[in-house]
Amino acid sequence: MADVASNLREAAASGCWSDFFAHAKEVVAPEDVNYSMMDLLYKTSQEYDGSLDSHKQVRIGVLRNFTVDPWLPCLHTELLRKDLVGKIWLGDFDVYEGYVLDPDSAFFRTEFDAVILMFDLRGLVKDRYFSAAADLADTILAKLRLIVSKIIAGTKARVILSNLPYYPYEYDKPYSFQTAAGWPNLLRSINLRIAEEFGSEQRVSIFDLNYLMAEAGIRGSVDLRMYLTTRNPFRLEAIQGFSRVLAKVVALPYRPAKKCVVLDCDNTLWGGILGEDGPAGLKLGEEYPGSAYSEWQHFLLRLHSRGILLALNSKNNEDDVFSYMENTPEMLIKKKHLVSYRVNWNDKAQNLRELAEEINIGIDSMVYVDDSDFECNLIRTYFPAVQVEQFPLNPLEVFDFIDRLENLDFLEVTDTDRERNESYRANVERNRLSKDATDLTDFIRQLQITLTIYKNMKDQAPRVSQMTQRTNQFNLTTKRYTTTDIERFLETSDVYTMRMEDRFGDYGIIGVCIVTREEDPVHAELDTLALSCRAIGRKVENAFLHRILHDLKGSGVEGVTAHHYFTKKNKLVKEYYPDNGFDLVDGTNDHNRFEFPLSRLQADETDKLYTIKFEGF
Amino acid sequence: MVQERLQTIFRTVFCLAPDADVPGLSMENHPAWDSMAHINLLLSVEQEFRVSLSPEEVAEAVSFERLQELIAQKI
Repeated sequence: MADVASNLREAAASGCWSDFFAHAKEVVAPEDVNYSMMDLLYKTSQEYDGSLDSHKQVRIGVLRNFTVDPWLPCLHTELLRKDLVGKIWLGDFDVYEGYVLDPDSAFFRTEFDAVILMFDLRGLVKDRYFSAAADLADTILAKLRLIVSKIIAGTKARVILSNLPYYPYEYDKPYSFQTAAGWPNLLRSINLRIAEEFGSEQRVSIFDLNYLMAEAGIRGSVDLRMYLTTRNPFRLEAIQGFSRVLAKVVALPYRPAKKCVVLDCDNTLWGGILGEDGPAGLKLGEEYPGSAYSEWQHFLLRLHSRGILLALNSKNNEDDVFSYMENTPEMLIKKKHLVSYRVNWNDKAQNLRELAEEINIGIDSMVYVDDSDFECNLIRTYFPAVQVEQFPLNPLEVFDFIDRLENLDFLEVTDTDRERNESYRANVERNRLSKDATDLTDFIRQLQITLTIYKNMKDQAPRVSQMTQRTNQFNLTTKRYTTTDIERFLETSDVYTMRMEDRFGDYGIIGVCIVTREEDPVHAELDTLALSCRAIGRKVENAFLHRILHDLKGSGVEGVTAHHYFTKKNKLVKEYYPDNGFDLVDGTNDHNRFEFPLSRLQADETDKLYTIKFEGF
Repeated sequence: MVQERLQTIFRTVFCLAPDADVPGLSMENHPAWDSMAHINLLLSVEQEFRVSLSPEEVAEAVSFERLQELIAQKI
């Protein structure tokens, strides 16, 4: 371990960050990493400049009224496990108000991606040995509102607001339980109000430290010795567990989002084997072990309601599976929840590939769940990009399994998310139509497509950010942006979006284009252009670009620069700019640069295929 | 065994050279061993050896040797 330590220090000192992260990856691979090592990783990585694409830097500010120092190495390690590097600035003990009320303070001189706020009641209420003032909750909420609003107004950061942890020790028990003004009740009502007031704020995420503490057990998570000596209420072990969840909240805007969960059936969706035990012999419902599978199905339906697609990949007779599904009340997942399925006796890798093609998503946006070693390894071998999760054999482990599933978390759920299931299912129907149409133009006409092009719509910022995060195939520059980044673009640049509807349904926002005009006002640059893969194959990308170019020309722009940065996934767009009349002016191994003089702009035939509307122009 | 594991922690916390005299270290002779480093050291030690030191023991554990003795008593 001493060698690893000096390797890390040397790599950091000489700025060899790829070496540094290669060493760090080994260090954090075991679940239990010694605090001294976490602290070393944290301190030695603070000079990292964010220059590697593989390791995005997240600049974090922390304001607090209790000792949180041991959280920082733990949080940093958890972020590192997600290939994120926390650059953390810690505000002095108990001076949060001083920082946010002074626009010239050190806090506002530093730029943050996220600001974490952590307060405990002891710090907020100095005289808690007396009964609480009647308006105490109001006072505390007003204080939090002020702090949060100052940060929102004065920075571009997301705010991660921890609610109030329990006291390490509650005195005066029977009496304090008795009234709403008793301290434990007061704490709960303040926390409820934090959720009510800040939960729907776009830039605020709530970190439910109070819940996590209860989950771990209050006595089990506090260290009275540390609390009395250093004002740190928590045991290191508890901090490690809490930091894992905190890192999830911090990492949400940067995570690769998965779109579809593909499920095995036997011993994964229910207990037992349909072909052997028969429908009556399967375990599902109120009684253990069936109750564990019911919990799992509940969780899957929750994902479904947020727009995660569900599909089956099972070795079974199709009729048997659907007959069981539709006729068993305990079976919560029904055929209508599935975007598609492969229930047959074919090779599961082949099935998975077909599903990805049919649903029209990248195979790497799939999570595959199966209880079988063999099938899990098969998928891992054929498709390393698929996130494979082996369902536990012991049904008791199901909660832990759910808790540890990565990349299925949400920060916000947009309307497009909620409608995604319907939209993908409609796609399957469109595919059938396409088989009947005589040619592509005929197919597009039959779809009766309406396009709405929007310009600078502030309320679409979350969806725009999400598209930059999730779109891989039709994405010219593959620049990933947070909602905050998009809000910045809305102030300084033009953000165009496109909604598509056809006779089968509404796709929602499927196109994004960010146009910057920094140096020369008559010259524009296409910073980002992405189209959801659901909209590919209808030529709408040409109509979108064409309309944007017209708008730019109308506002006095004379020339447009565009880029294609090559990735493994965006080969599809290689000819996009040339096909639209752009000139290739510069090309390297990983990048092509194009120019288009707007004097050449002409009417575009593809426009006639659609009904086109405009908003925000 | 305790000594070896403790040395590793000291090397990591204090950025020590491979030839450093780790068992001879104390708060008195090593300026980097300040109160912040002391807390880091104790958190690391408690985690590594799954022991807990009282505030009095924490105040007392100001040299490698003394810390090693305290740990040895507890495991």
